[in-house]
Amino acid sequence: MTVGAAVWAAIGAAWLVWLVVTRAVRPLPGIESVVRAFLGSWLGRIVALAAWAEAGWHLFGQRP
Amino acid sequence: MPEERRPLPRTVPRRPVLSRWVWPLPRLLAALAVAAFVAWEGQQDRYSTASHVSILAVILAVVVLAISAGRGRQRRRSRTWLRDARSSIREQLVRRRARTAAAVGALGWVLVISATAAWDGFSFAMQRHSLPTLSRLFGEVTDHDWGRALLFAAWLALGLYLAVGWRCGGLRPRTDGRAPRQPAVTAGTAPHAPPRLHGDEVG
Repeated sequence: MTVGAAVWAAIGAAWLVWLVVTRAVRPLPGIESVVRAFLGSWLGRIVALAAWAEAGWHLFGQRP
Repeated sequence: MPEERRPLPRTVPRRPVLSRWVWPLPRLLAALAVAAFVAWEGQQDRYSTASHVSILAVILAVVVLAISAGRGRQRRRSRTWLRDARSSIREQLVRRRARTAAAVGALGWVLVISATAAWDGFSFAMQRHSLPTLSRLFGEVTDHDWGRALLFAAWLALGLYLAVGWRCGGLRPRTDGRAPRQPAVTAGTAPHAPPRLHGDEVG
């Protein structure tokens, strides 16, 4: 396993652990709270949609 | 003399038996159409014109949907949203009056997202085979038809949620052109309470 793969595995594990922790410990804000924080206004929604559109174009229309 | 009890009038008319079986048909057809589109998209090459046109069409459709479904249904105006975000950060970082759970939760998300972005940027800057970027990892998934289809379905679902999710009221616009009234909700009363709503600030 390369260094990069190991770091990505650690980051992925951190994501997984944090998702589970925020789901299990109710006072902690979950991923839906993070997303909804952006969807509270037009400005935040536009930012989120722009990031979504760019990610989609990059993933499905370009060579990643 | 005892009062005669009468049954309360039904406010919701009973749906005819036939329509109970027929109404899912449009939804079923729509789901089949989306599934067919996802399967078709999974077979496209990322360089092809069909792929580019379909991705751009999806982005355009989601933006149009966001605008048409969201007129007058944002929970806060952008100026209020920015002001609240600034004041919230100031309270958590400077005044230290924020609740512990919210501060710890925000710190956790900042750390996880920052680590992802920082390592991705570092890997991109180094340009080494041993340091793959996030795009390359996803690219290995989208090289397969099934991976591209699954990822496209997830991307499509996320886009639809970003377009129509977390709005005030239903999706049907009011006929009088005014924003729907919302009950006042005080922020901070519960850990997962929605953001503060202002009935007169719906944007």
